[in-house]
Amino acid sequence: MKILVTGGAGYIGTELVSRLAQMPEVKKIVVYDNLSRPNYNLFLGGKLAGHEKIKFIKGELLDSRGLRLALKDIDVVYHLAARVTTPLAHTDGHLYEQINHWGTAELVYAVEESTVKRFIYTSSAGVYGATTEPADENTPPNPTTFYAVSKLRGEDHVRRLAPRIETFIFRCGNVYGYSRSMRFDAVINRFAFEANFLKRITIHGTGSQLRSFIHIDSITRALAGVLQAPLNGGTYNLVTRTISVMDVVDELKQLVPDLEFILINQHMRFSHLMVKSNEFINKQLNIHNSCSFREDLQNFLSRLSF
Amino acid sequence: MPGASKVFLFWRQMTVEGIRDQIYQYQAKGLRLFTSSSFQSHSLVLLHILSRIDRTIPVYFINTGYHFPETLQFRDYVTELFGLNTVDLKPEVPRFMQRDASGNLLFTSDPDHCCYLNKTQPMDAVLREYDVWINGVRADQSAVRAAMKTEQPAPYGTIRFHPMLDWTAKMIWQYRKEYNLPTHPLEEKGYVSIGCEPCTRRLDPDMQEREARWYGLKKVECGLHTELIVNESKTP
Ligand code: SF4
Repeated sequence: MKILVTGGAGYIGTELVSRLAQMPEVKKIVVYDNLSRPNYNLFLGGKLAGHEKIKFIKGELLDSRGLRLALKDIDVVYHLAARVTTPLAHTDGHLYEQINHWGTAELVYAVEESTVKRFIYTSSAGVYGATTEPADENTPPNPTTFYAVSKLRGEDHVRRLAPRIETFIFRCGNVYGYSRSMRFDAVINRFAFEANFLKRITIHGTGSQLRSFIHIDSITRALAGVLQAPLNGGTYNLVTRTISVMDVVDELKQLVPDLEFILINQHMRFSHLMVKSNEFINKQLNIHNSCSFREDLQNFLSRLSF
Repeated sequence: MPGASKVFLFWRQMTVEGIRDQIYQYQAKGLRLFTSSSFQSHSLVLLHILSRIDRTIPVYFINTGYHFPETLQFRDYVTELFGLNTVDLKPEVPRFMQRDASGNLLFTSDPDHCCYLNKTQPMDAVLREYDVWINGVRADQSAVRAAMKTEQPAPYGTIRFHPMLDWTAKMIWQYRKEYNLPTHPLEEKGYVSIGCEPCTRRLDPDMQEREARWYGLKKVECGLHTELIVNESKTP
Protein backbone atom coordinates (compact mmCIF):
# COMPACT_ATOMS: atom_id res chain seq x y z
CA MET A 1 0.00 0.00 0.00
CA LYS A 2 1.34 3.40 -1.02
CA ILE A 3 0.32 6.40 1.00
CA LEU A 4 0.51 10.16 0.60
CA VAL A 5 0.20 12.37 3.68
CA THR A 6 -0.42 16.07 3.12
CA GLY A 7 0.87 18.02 6.07
CA GLY A 8 2.96 14.96 6.86
CA ALA A 9 5.64 17.01 8.63
CA GLY A 10 3.15 18.72 10.93
CA TYR A 11 2.01 18.09 14.48
CA ILE A 12 -0.20 15.07 13.73
CA GLY A 13 1.59 14.17 10.50
CA THR A 14 4.98 13.56 12.14
CA GLU A 15 3.53 11.03 14.56
CA LEU A 16 1.29 9.44 11.93
CA VAL A 17 4.13 9.00 9.45
CA SER A 18 6.33 7.41 12.13
CA ARG A 19 3.54 4.97 12.95
CA LEU A 20 2.65 4.13 9.35
CA ALA A 21 6.30 3.47 8.52
CA GLN A 22 6.26 0.59 11.00
CA MET A 23 3.25 -1.14 9.45
CA PRO A 24 4.27 -4.07 7.21
CA GLU A 25 1.45 -3.52 4.71
CA VAL A 26 2.66 0.03 4.09
CA LYS A 27 5.22 -0.03 1.30
CA LYS A 28 5.70 3.66 0.64
CA ILE A 29 4.87 6.96 2.32
CA VAL A 30 5.06 10.28 0.52
CA VAL A 31 5.17 13.24 2.90
CA TYR A 32 3.71 16.20 1.00
CA ASP A 33 4.25 19.36 2.99
CA ASN A 34 5.19 22.99 2.33
CA LEU A 35 6.85 23.35 5.77
CA SER A 36 4.78 26.47 6.39
CA ARG A 37 5.62 26.07 10.06
CA PRO A 38 9.36 25.96 10.14
CA ASN A 39 9.34 22.70 12.01
CA TYR A 40 11.87 20.16 10.82
CA ASN A 41 11.56 17.58 13.56
CA LEU A 42 10.16 14.88 11.30
CA PHE A 43 13.54 14.96 9.59
CA LEU A 44 15.67 14.79 12.75
CA GLY A 45 16.50 12.40 15.59
CA GLY A 46 18.13 9.49 13.79
CA LYS A 47 16.67 6.93 11.42
CA LEU A 48 13.01 6.06 11.98
CA ALA A 49 11.88 2.45 11.90
CA GLY A 50 10.82 1.89 8.31
CA HIS A 51 12.61 5.05 7.19
CA GLU A 52 13.45 3.60 3.79
CA LYS A 53 9.76 3.75 2.85
CA ILE A 54 9.48 7.50 3.41
CA LYS A 55 9.93 10.12 0.73
CA PHE A 56 9.51 13.87 1.07
CA ILE A 57 8.01 16.30 -1.45
CA LYS A 58 8.11 19.95 -0.56
CA GLY A 59 4.94 21.11 -2.20
CA GLU A 60 1.78 22.99 -1.59
CA LEU A 61 -1.88 22.16 -1.98
CA LEU A 62 -2.43 24.80 -4.63
CA ASP A 63 0.22 23.27 -6.88
CA SER A 64 -2.27 21.45 -9.09
CA ARG A 65 0.41 19.93 -11.29
CA GLY A 66 2.69 18.96 -8.42
CA LEU A 67 -0.19 17.18 -6.73
CA ARG A 68 -1.01 15.17 -9.82
CA LEU A 69 2.59 14.03 -10.09
CA ALA A 70 2.83 13.23 -6.38
CA LEU A 71 -0.32 11.09 -6.53
CA LYS A 72 1.05 8.72 -9.13
CA ASP A 73 0.53 5.10 -7.96
CA ILE A 74 -0.78 6.23 -4.56
CA ASP A 75 -3.52 4.09 -2.95
CA VAL A 76 -4.38 6.07 0.17
CA VAL A 77 -4.35 9.80 0.90
CA TYR A 78 -4.35 11.33 4.36
CA HIS A 79 -5.22 14.99 4.02
CA LEU A 80 -3.94 16.71 7.15
CA ALA A 81 -2.49 19.88 5.65
CA ALA A 82 -4.33 22.99 6.76
CA ARG A 83 -3.91 26.48 7.88
CA VAL A 84 -4.85 26.04 11.50
CA THR A 85 -6.62 28.31 13.88
CA THR A 86 -5.33 30.13 16.86
CA PRO A 87 -7.62 31.57 19.52
CA LEU A 88 -9.49 34.65 18.41
CA ALA A 89 -8.05 34.41 14.91
CA HIS A 90 -10.69 36.33 13.06
CA THR A 91 -8.51 38.27 10.68
CA ASP A 92 -7.64 37.47 7.10
CA GLY A 93 -10.32 34.95 6.31
CA HIS A 94 -9.00 34.58 2.79
CA LEU A 95 -5.92 32.66 3.88
CA TYR A 96 -8.04 30.01 5.58
CA GLU A 97 -10.19 29.82 2.47
CA GLN A 98 -7.20 29.66 0.19
CA ILE A 99 -5.65 26.66 1.88
CA ASN A 100 -8.42 24.77 3.64
CA HIS A 101 -11.18 25.30 1.11
CA TRP A 102 -9.59 25.82 -2.30
CA GLY A 103 -6.47 23.81 -1.47
CA THR A 104 -8.67 20.87 -0.51
CA ALA A 105 -10.70 21.34 -3.71
CA GLU A 106 -7.47 21.23 -5.70
CA LEU A 107 -6.38 18.01 -3.98
CA VAL A 108 -9.78 16.44 -4.64
CA TYR A 109 -9.52 17.30 -8.34
CA ALA A 110 -6.11 15.64 -8.50
CA VAL A 111 -7.37 12.59 -6.60
CA GLU A 112 -10.28 12.23 -9.03
CA GLU A 113 -7.77 11.70 -11.81
CA SER A 114 -5.63 9.25 -9.81
CA THR A 115 -5.62 5.63 -8.68
CA VAL A 116 -6.37 6.53 -5.05
CA LYS A 117 -8.81 4.14 -3.41
CA ARG A 118 -9.16 5.65 0.05
CA PHE A 119 -9.21 9.25 1.20
CA ILE A 120 -9.00 10.34 4.83
CA TYR A 121 -9.61 13.96 5.76
CA THR A 122 -9.09 15.46 9.20
CA SER A 123 -11.83 18.03 9.57
CA SER A 124 -12.57 19.82 12.80
CA ALA A 125 -15.14 19.54 15.56
CA GLY A 126 -15.23 23.32 15.17
CA VAL A 127 -17.62 22.90 12.22
CA TYR A 128 -20.49 22.51 14.71
CA GLY A 129 -19.97 26.02 16.07
CA ALA A 130 -21.42 26.91 19.46
CA THR A 131 -23.25 24.02 21.10
CA THR A 132 -25.58 23.75 24.07
CA GLU A 133 -25.49 19.96 24.02
CA PRO A 134 -22.80 17.62 22.72
CA ALA A 135 -23.06 17.57 18.91
CA ASP A 136 -23.27 14.26 17.14
CA GLU A 137 -22.76 13.67 13.43
CA ASN A 138 -26.40 14.51 12.70
CA THR A 139 -26.19 17.93 14.31
CA PRO A 140 -26.27 20.50 11.49
CA PRO A 141 -22.89 22.25 11.28
CA ASN A 142 -22.92 25.93 12.07
CA PRO A 143 -19.32 27.12 12.00
CA THR A 144 -18.54 30.54 13.42
CA THR A 145 -14.87 31.11 12.61
CA PHE A 146 -13.11 31.54 9.28
CA TYR A 147 -11.14 28.43 10.09
CA ALA A 148 -14.19 26.28 10.78
CA VAL A 149 -16.09 27.59 7.75
CA SER A 150 -13.13 26.74 5.52
CA LYS A 151 -12.81 23.23 7.01
CA LEU A 152 -16.51 22.61 6.39
CA ARG A 153 -16.24 23.72 2.77
CA GLY A 154 -13.27 21.37 2.51
CA GLU A 155 -15.55 18.58 3.74
CA ASP A 156 -18.07 19.35 1.00
CA HIS A 157 -15.40 18.95 -1.65
CA VAL A 158 -14.05 15.75 -0.11
CA ARG A 159 -17.53 14.26 0.17
CA ARG A 160 -17.83 14.46 -3.59
CA LEU A 161 -15.33 11.60 -3.78
CA ALA A 162 -17.51 9.26 -1.74
CA PRO A 163 -19.39 7.54 -4.59
CA ARG A 164 -16.10 6.44 -6.19
CA ILE A 165 -13.51 6.30 -3.40
CA GLU A 166 -13.79 5.14 0.19
CA THR A 167 -13.90 8.49 1.95
CA PHE A 168 -13.51 9.22 5.64
CA ILE A 169 -14.10 12.61 7.16
CA PHE A 170 -13.09 12.87 10.79
CA ARG A 171 -14.27 15.85 12.79
CA CYS A 172 -11.43 15.89 15.26
CA GLY A 173 -11.42 17.44 18.68
CA ASN A 174 -8.69 19.80 19.77
CA VAL A 175 -5.54 17.69 19.69
CA TYR A 176 -3.14 17.73 22.65
CA GLY A 177 -0.06 15.90 23.84
CA TYR A 178 3.55 15.48 22.92
CA SER A 179 4.53 15.09 19.28
CA ARG A 180 8.04 15.39 17.87
CA SER A 181 6.72 18.32 15.86
CA MET A 182 5.09 20.34 18.58
CA ARG A 183 2.34 22.91 18.32
CA PHE A 184 2.17 25.21 21.25
CA ASP A 185 -0.78 27.24 19.98
CA ALA A 186 -3.27 24.46 20.80
CA VAL A 187 -4.78 25.23 24.17
CA ILE A 188 -3.68 22.31 26.36
CA ASN A 189 -0.18 22.29 24.93
CA ARG A 190 0.20 25.99 25.49
CA PHE A 191 -1.02 25.63 29.06
CA ALA A 192 1.43 22.81 29.71
CA PHE A 193 4.27 24.92 28.35
CA GLU A 194 3.30 27.99 30.34
CA ALA A 195 2.70 25.96 33.51
CA ASN A 196 6.03 24.22 33.31
CA PHE A 197 8.24 27.08 32.23
CA LEU A 198 6.47 30.25 33.29
CA LYS A 199 4.38 29.02 36.20
CA ARG A 200 1.65 31.29 34.95
CA ILE A 201 -1.07 30.41 32.46
CA THR A 202 -2.87 32.96 30.29
CA ILE A 203 -6.57 32.27 29.85
CA HIS A 204 -8.98 33.80 27.35
CA GLY A 205 -12.58 34.39 28.40
CA THR A 206 -13.96 33.16 31.70
CA GLY A 207 -12.37 29.75 31.39
CA SER A 208 -15.72 28.04 31.81
CA GLN A 209 -16.00 27.24 28.08
CA LEU A 210 -16.20 23.53 27.39
CA ARG A 211 -14.11 22.04 24.59
CA SER A 212 -13.75 18.55 23.14
CA PHE A 213 -10.30 17.04 22.88
CA ILE A 214 -8.38 14.04 21.63
CA HIS A 215 -4.88 12.96 22.59
CA ILE A 216 -2.26 12.91 19.84
CA ASP A 217 -1.60 9.19 20.41
CA SER A 218 -5.29 8.42 20.04
CA ILE A 219 -5.71 10.37 16.86
CA THR A 220 -2.63 8.82 15.25
CA ARG A 221 -3.76 5.35 16.30
CA ALA A 222 -7.22 6.06 14.88
CA LEU A 223 -5.92 7.42 11.60
CA ALA A 224 -3.51 4.55 11.08
CA GLY A 225 -6.24 2.14 12.16
CA VAL A 226 -8.48 3.20 9.28
CA LEU A 227 -6.24 1.12 7.03
CA GLN A 228 -7.29 -2.09 8.79
CA ALA A 229 -10.59 -1.47 10.57
CA PRO A 230 -13.75 -2.99 9.10
CA LEU A 231 -15.28 0.43 8.72
CA ASN A 232 -17.33 2.06 6.00
CA GLY A 233 -16.50 5.53 4.79
CA GLY A 234 -18.47 8.41 6.25
CA THR A 235 -18.31 11.45 8.48
CA TYR A 236 -17.36 10.69 12.06
CA ASN A 237 -16.55 12.60 15.21
CA LEU A 238 -13.15 11.82 16.68
CA VAL A 239 -12.98 13.03 20.27
CA THR A 240 -12.32 11.36 23.58
CA ARG A 241 -12.79 14.05 26.27
CA THR A 242 -14.93 17.11 26.82
CA ILE A 243 -13.74 19.40 29.61
CA SER A 244 -13.65 23.08 30.40
CA VAL A 245 -10.59 25.22 29.99
CA MET A 246 -10.58 25.74 33.73
CA ASP A 247 -10.61 21.95 34.29
CA VAL A 248 -7.33 21.80 32.40
CA VAL A 249 -5.89 24.47 34.67
CA ASP A 250 -7.12 22.65 37.79
CA GLU A 251 -5.40 19.46 36.72
CA LEU A 252 -2.17 21.30 35.98
CA LYS A 253 -2.31 22.93 39.40
CA GLN A 254 -2.16 19.49 40.93
CA LEU A 255 1.03 18.84 39.02
CA VAL A 256 2.64 22.26 39.28
CA PRO A 257 1.81 23.39 42.83
CA ASP A 258 2.90 27.01 42.60
CA LEU A 259 0.99 27.60 39.38
CA GLU A 260 -0.88 30.86 38.85
CA PHE A 261 -3.24 31.80 36.09
CA ILE A 262 -4.23 35.10 34.63
CA LEU A 263 -7.55 35.79 32.93
CA ILE A 264 -6.83 38.42 30.35
CA ASN A 265 -10.34 39.12 29.10
CA GLN A 266 -12.74 37.58 31.56
CA HIS A 267 -15.58 39.84 30.54
CA MET A 268 -15.97 37.57 27.53
CA ARG A 269 -17.98 34.44 28.03
CA PHE A 270 -17.24 32.07 25.18
CA SER A 271 -19.72 29.51 23.95
CA HIS A 272 -19.23 25.84 24.57
CA LEU A 273 -18.04 23.59 21.80
CA MET A 274 -19.00 20.12 22.89
CA VAL A 275 -18.83 17.15 20.62
CA LYS A 276 -20.15 13.72 21.41
CA SER A 277 -17.67 10.89 21.15
CA ASN A 278 -18.76 8.26 18.71
CA GLU A 279 -18.33 5.14 20.83
CA PHE A 280 -18.72 2.80 17.89
CA ILE A 281 -15.94 4.50 15.95
CA ASN A 282 -13.68 4.79 18.98
CA LYS A 283 -14.09 1.06 19.55
CA GLN A 284 -13.49 0.14 15.92
CA LEU A 285 -10.37 2.28 15.84
CA ASN A 286 -9.29 1.12 19.26
CA ILE A 287 -9.08 4.51 20.88
CA HIS A 288 -9.99 5.15 24.44
CA ASN A 289 -8.61 7.14 27.33
CA SER A 290 -6.02 4.63 28.49
CA CYS A 291 -5.13 6.81 31.44
CA SER A 292 -6.62 9.73 33.35
CA PHE A 293 -6.32 13.23 32.03
CA ARG A 294 -3.91 14.07 34.84
CA GLU A 295 -1.66 11.19 33.81
CA ASP A 296 -1.80 12.46 30.22
CA LEU A 297 -0.58 15.83 31.42
CA GLN A 298 2.05 14.23 33.63
CA ASN A 299 3.39 12.25 30.67
CA PHE A 300 3.47 15.39 28.62
CA LEU A 301 5.35 17.39 31.28
CA SER A 302 7.83 14.55 31.59
CA ARG A 303 8.77 15.04 27.92
CA LEU A 304 9.79 18.65 28.50
CA SER A 305 13.51 19.13 28.93
CA PHE A 306 13.54 20.94 32.30
CA MET B 1 -48.37 26.66 -33.99
CA PRO B 2 -50.21 28.20 -36.96
CA GLY B 3 -48.02 30.16 -39.26
CA ALA B 4 -44.81 29.32 -37.42
CA SER B 5 -42.08 28.09 -39.71
CA LYS B 6 -40.35 24.80 -39.04
CA VAL B 7 -37.11 26.54 -38.29
CA PHE B 8 -38.15 29.63 -36.41
CA LEU B 9 -40.88 29.61 -33.80
CA PHE B 10 -42.12 33.19 -33.74
CA TRP B 11 -40.13 35.93 -35.24
CA ARG B 12 -36.62 34.61 -34.70
CA GLN B 13 -36.70 31.90 -32.06
CA MET B 14 -35.28 28.60 -33.30
CA THR B 15 -37.36 25.47 -32.84
CA VAL B 16 -35.86 22.14 -31.87
CA GLU B 17 -36.32 21.05 -35.48
CA GLY B 18 -34.55 24.14 -36.67
CA ILE B 19 -31.62 23.47 -34.36
CA ARG B 20 -31.49 19.86 -35.50
CA ASP B 21 -31.49 20.84 -39.17
CA GLN B 22 -28.73 23.34 -38.60
CA ILE B 23 -26.60 20.81 -36.74
CA TYR B 24 -27.14 18.20 -39.43
CA GLN B 25 -26.11 20.75 -42.02
CA TYR B 26 -22.89 21.49 -40.17
CA GLN B 27 -22.21 17.79 -39.84
CA ALA B 28 -22.96 17.15 -43.49
CA LYS B 29 -20.23 19.65 -44.30
CA GLY B 30 -17.84 17.68 -42.13
CA LEU B 31 -17.54 20.40 -39.50
CA ARG B 32 -16.45 19.47 -35.99
CA LEU B 33 -18.97 20.57 -33.33
CA PHE B 34 -18.81 21.06 -29.60
CA THR B 35 -20.81 22.82 -26.95
CA SER B 36 -20.01 24.25 -23.55
CA SER B 37 -22.21 24.35 -20.50
CA SER B 38 -22.24 25.77 -17.00
CA PHE B 39 -24.81 23.17 -15.93
CA GLN B 40 -27.21 25.63 -14.40
CA SER B 41 -30.88 24.69 -14.50
CA HIS B 42 -31.60 26.93 -17.47
CA SER B 43 -28.59 25.55 -19.39
CA LEU B 44 -30.11 22.10 -19.33
CA VAL B 45 -32.57 22.97 -22.08
CA LEU B 46 -29.86 23.20 -24.72
CA LEU B 47 -28.14 20.10 -23.33
CA HIS B 48 -31.38 18.19 -23.46
CA ILE B 49 -32.11 19.31 -27.01
CA LEU B 50 -28.61 18.29 -28.08
CA SER B 51 -28.95 14.94 -26.35
CA ARG B 52 -32.03 14.34 -28.51
CA ILE B 53 -30.07 15.24 -31.63
CA ASP B 54 -26.61 13.75 -31.09
CA ARG B 55 -25.22 12.60 -27.76
CA THR B 56 -21.70 12.30 -29.01
CA ILE B 57 -21.23 16.07 -29.34
CA PRO B 58 -18.66 16.93 -26.65
CA VAL B 59 -19.98 19.10 -23.83
CA TYR B 60 -17.14 21.12 -22.30
CA PHE B 61 -17.61 22.04 -18.67
CA ILE B 62 -15.25 24.88 -17.82
CA ASN B 63 -13.95 23.66 -14.50
CA THR B 64 -12.40 26.80 -13.08
CA GLY B 65 -11.60 25.01 -9.82
CA TYR B 66 -13.85 27.47 -8.01
CA HIS B 67 -17.20 25.78 -8.52
CA PHE B 68 -19.55 24.84 -5.74
CA PRO B 69 -19.27 21.11 -4.98
CA GLU B 70 -23.03 21.02 -5.61
CA THR B 71 -22.47 22.17 -9.19
CA LEU B 72 -19.94 19.40 -9.81
CA GLN B 73 -22.31 16.82 -8.41
CA PHE B 74 -25.11 18.19 -10.55
CA ARG B 75 -22.87 18.06 -13.63
CA ASP B 76 -22.18 14.38 -12.99
CA TYR B 77 -25.84 13.65 -12.40
CA VAL B 78 -27.03 15.39 -15.58
CA THR B 79 -24.25 13.80 -17.62
CA GLU B 80 -25.50 10.40 -16.55
CA LEU B 81 -29.18 11.27 -16.94
CA PHE B 82 -28.91 12.68 -20.47
CA GLY B 83 -26.09 10.34 -21.54
CA LEU B 84 -23.82 13.27 -22.40
CA ASN B 85 -20.24 13.25 -23.59
CA THR B 86 -19.04 15.71 -20.93
CA VAL B 87 -15.43 16.87 -20.93
CA ASP B 88 -13.92 18.51 -17.82
CA LEU B 89 -11.89 21.51 -18.99
CA LYS B 90 -9.32 22.59 -16.41
CA PRO B 91 -7.03 25.61 -16.47
CA GLU B 92 -3.45 25.18 -17.65
CA VAL B 93 -2.03 27.51 -15.02
CA PRO B 94 -1.73 25.74 -11.65
CA ARG B 95 -3.59 27.37 -8.79
CA PHE B 96 -0.47 28.44 -6.93
CA MET B 97 0.55 30.51 -9.96
CA GLN B 98 -2.77 32.31 -9.73
CA ARG B 99 -1.98 34.55 -6.78
CA ASP B 100 -1.65 38.31 -6.76
CA ALA B 101 1.11 40.48 -5.34
CA SER B 102 -0.34 40.08 -1.83
CA GLY B 103 -0.36 36.29 -2.07
CA ASN B 104 -4.14 36.14 -2.37
CA LEU B 105 -5.96 34.26 -5.10
CA LEU B 106 -6.70 36.41 -8.12
CA PHE B 107 -10.45 36.60 -7.68
CA THR B 108 -9.84 38.81 -4.63
CA SER B 109 -8.20 41.58 -6.65
CA ASP B 110 -8.37 40.97 -10.40
CA PRO B 111 -11.38 38.89 -11.41
CA ASP B 112 -10.84 39.61 -15.10
CA HIS B 113 -7.43 38.00 -14.91
CA CYS B 114 -8.85 35.12 -12.88
CA CYS B 115 -11.58 34.53 -15.50
CA TYR B 116 -8.99 34.79 -18.23
CA LEU B 117 -6.80 32.04 -16.77
CA ASN B 118 -9.63 29.76 -15.71
CA LYS B 119 -12.18 30.22 -18.48
CA THR B 120 -11.06 32.14 -21.52
CA GLN B 121 -7.59 30.69 -21.96
CA PRO B 122 -8.66 27.02 -21.66
CA MET B 123 -11.61 27.64 -23.99
CA ASP B 124 -9.38 29.41 -26.48
CA ALA B 125 -7.37 26.19 -26.79
CA VAL B 126 -10.56 24.20 -27.41
CA LEU B 127 -11.70 26.58 -30.14
CA ARG B 128 -8.63 25.71 -32.19
CA GLU B 129 -9.78 22.11 -32.41
CA TYR B 130 -13.34 22.66 -33.61
CA ASP B 131 -15.30 24.40 -36.32
CA VAL B 132 -18.59 25.13 -34.55
CA TRP B 133 -19.18 26.20 -30.94
CA ILE B 134 -22.79 25.60 -30.01
CA ASN B 135 -23.35 28.15 -27.28
CA GLY B 136 -26.47 28.61 -25.18
CA VAL B 137 -26.34 32.40 -24.63
CA ARG B 138 -29.66 34.20 -24.59
CA ALA B 139 -30.28 37.78 -25.63
CA ASP B 140 -32.31 38.50 -22.50
CA GLN B 141 -29.33 37.75 -20.23
CA SER B 142 -27.22 40.86 -20.78
CA ALA B 143 -26.64 43.76 -23.15
CA VAL B 144 -23.54 42.03 -24.54
CA ARG B 145 -25.57 38.98 -25.42
CA ALA B 146 -28.51 41.00 -26.78
CA ALA B 147 -26.18 42.33 -29.47
CA MET B 148 -25.21 38.86 -30.70
CA LYS B 149 -26.43 37.01 -33.77
CA THR B 150 -27.51 33.39 -34.15
CA GLU B 151 -24.37 32.67 -36.11
CA GLN B 152 -21.29 34.69 -35.45
CA PRO B 153 -17.61 34.26 -36.18
CA ALA B 154 -15.15 33.40 -33.42
CA PRO B 155 -11.33 33.23 -33.43
CA TYR B 156 -9.52 30.63 -35.57
CA GLY B 157 -12.30 30.56 -38.14
CA THR B 158 -14.71 28.90 -35.73
CA ILE B 159 -18.42 29.65 -35.96
CA ARG B 160 -20.35 30.44 -32.81
CA PHE B 161 -23.84 29.03 -33.18
CA HIS B 162 -26.33 30.51 -30.69
CA PRO B 163 -29.50 28.44 -31.05
CA MET B 164 -31.10 29.69 -27.84
CA LEU B 165 -30.40 33.35 -28.52
CA ASP B 166 -34.00 34.46 -28.79
CA TRP B 167 -35.56 32.01 -26.42
CA THR B 168 -37.21 33.79 -23.50
CA ALA B 169 -37.07 32.85 -19.84
CA LYS B 170 -40.68 31.71 -20.17
CA MET B 171 -39.87 29.33 -23.02
CA ILE B 172 -36.99 27.91 -21.03
CA TRP B 173 -39.31 27.38 -18.12
CA GLN B 174 -41.93 25.71 -20.31
CA TYR B 175 -39.41 23.36 -21.90
CA ARG B 176 -38.00 22.41 -18.51
CA LYS B 177 -41.50 21.68 -17.28
CA GLU B 178 -42.49 19.69 -20.34
CA TYR B 179 -39.46 17.40 -20.07
CA ASN B 180 -39.33 17.50 -16.29
CA LEU B 181 -35.68 18.56 -16.29
CA PRO B 182 -33.85 18.55 -12.94
CA THR B 183 -33.04 21.70 -10.99
CA HIS B 184 -29.62 22.75 -9.70
CA PRO B 185 -29.61 21.94 -5.97
CA LEU B 186 -28.55 25.45 -4.94
CA GLU B 187 -31.62 27.04 -6.49
CA GLU B 188 -33.82 25.98 -3.65
CA LYS B 189 -31.34 27.69 -1.33
CA GLY B 190 -32.00 31.02 -3.02
CA TYR B 191 -29.32 31.17 -5.70
CA VAL B 192 -30.58 32.38 -9.09
CA SER B 193 -27.46 32.55 -11.25
CA ILE B 194 -24.74 30.15 -10.26
CA GLY B 195 -21.13 30.42 -11.33
CA CYS B 196 -17.92 30.19 -9.34
CA GLU B 197 -18.47 30.23 -5.61
CA PRO B 198 -16.31 33.30 -4.86
CA CYS B 199 -18.17 35.43 -7.41
CA THR B 200 -21.72 34.22 -6.82
CA ARG B 201 -24.05 35.83 -4.33
CA ARG B 202 -27.30 34.58 -2.94
CA LEU B 203 -29.75 37.38 -3.63
CA ASP B 204 -31.48 39.36 -0.94
CA PRO B 205 -35.12 40.08 -1.77
CA ASP B 206 -34.40 43.61 -2.97
CA MET B 207 -31.56 42.64 -5.33
CA GLN B 208 -31.65 42.18 -9.09
CA GLU B 209 -30.69 39.00 -10.86
CA ARG B 210 -27.62 40.61 -12.43
CA GLU B 211 -26.29 41.23 -8.92
CA ALA B 212 -26.00 37.50 -8.31
CA ARG B 213 -22.64 37.55 -10.07
CA TRP B 214 -19.60 39.79 -9.46
CA TYR B 215 -21.70 41.85 -7.09
CA GLY B 216 -20.27 45.34 -6.74
CA LEU B 217 -18.25 45.22 -9.95
CA LYS B 218 -19.02 46.60 -13.38
CA LYS B 219 -18.03 43.18 -14.70
CA VAL B 220 -20.98 41.32 -16.21
CA GLU B 221 -19.24 38.84 -18.49
CA CYS B 222 -16.30 36.54 -17.97
CA GLY B 223 -14.50 37.05 -21.28
CA LEU B 224 -15.94 34.00 -23.04
CA HIS B 225 -18.51 36.18 -24.73
CA THR B 226 -16.41 39.29 -25.15
CA GLU B 227 -13.01 37.92 -26.11
CA LEU B 228 -13.82 34.65 -27.84
CA ILE B 229 -15.98 36.26 -30.46
CA VAL B 230 -15.36 38.32 -33.55
CA ASN B 231 -17.56 41.36 -33.63
CA GLU B 232 -18.20 41.79 -37.34
CA SER B 233 -18.66 45.52 -37.20
CA LYS B 234 -15.11 45.78 -35.92
CA THR B 235 -13.48 43.39 -38.36
CA PRO B 236 -11.50 45.07 -41.08
S1 SF4 C 1 -15.99 33.85 -11.94
FE1 SF4 C 1 -14.70 34.55 -10.23
S2 SF4 C 1 -13.66 32.73 -9.42
FE2 SF4 C 1 -14.55 32.20 -11.43
S3 SF4 C 1 -12.87 32.44 -12.84
FE3 SF4 C 1 -14.02 34.39 -12.82
S4 SF4 C 1 -13.09 35.67 -11.20
FE4 SF4 C 1 -12.32 33.57 -10.97
